[in-house]
Amino acid sequence: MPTGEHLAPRGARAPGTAAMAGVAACGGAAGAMARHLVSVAWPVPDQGLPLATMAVNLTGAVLIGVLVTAVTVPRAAPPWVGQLLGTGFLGGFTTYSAHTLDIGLLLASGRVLPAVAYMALTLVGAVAGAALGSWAAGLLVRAPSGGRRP
Amino acid sequence: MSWELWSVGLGGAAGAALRYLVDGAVRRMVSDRLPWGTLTVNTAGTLLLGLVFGITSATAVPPQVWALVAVGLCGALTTYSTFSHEVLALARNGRPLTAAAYAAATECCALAALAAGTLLARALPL
Repeated sequence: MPTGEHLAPRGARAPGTAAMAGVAACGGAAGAMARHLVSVAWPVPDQGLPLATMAVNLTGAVLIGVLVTAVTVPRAAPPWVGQLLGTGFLGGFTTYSAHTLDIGLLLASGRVLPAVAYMALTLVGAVAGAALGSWAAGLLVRAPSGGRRP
Repeated sequence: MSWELWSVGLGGAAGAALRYLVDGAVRRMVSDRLPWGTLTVNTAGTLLLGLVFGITSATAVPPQVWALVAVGLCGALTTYSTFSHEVLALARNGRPLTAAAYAAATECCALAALAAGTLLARALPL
């Protein structure tokens, strides 16, 4: 079910592409500013790991798990919700480019083991975080609506 | 601080809009068996970051440019959240090997793009 891997349905962009891009832009501005504030509050220590980028990416992964469940259960939310919060805010909040620059700088300074550990921890943590977020949101969404499923 | 934050926000708005457009264009062109759109934006955004990083290492660039382009634009054009969701979705849909290959391909493409961007900056007449 490949289309299930995306937040927005395939082919749903013919009407209002510009409006959707604008919606994503609003979320992206807020997300990028939030990430910047985290990195200012949590600078990379000398010889330390760039934990701010890792924390932002892990938090964003948990939140996208929550979002993917929240926009599909119990009923599908309008597409702009996914664009604003998913493509926009969480896309702006998390970053692959800074993550890769962090790894590149560790490698360039000869710290191969920390670089590999940073890459692996972020990847495993983010995938587990997305699973955790979607599972937790599923519990919250189903709990008040009347009992357990058979 | 304030101008820096607003520069990041402006770059982030442009990056997110660009990501929406590029991801959509790529997904309309190729099969959706793999998340090619996300792979494209993550590689392209990291290439641009490598280029900007190389330029700022070689010559004096106003810090606003770093905030606008590197933190804002490249940061929002690329995404870790959608990437991790896609790896999880592939694994859950009975395609764990594809999930692992997609994750490995993204890490490799991004590192190669970072290196390429940095080298490209060195080749520029600065």
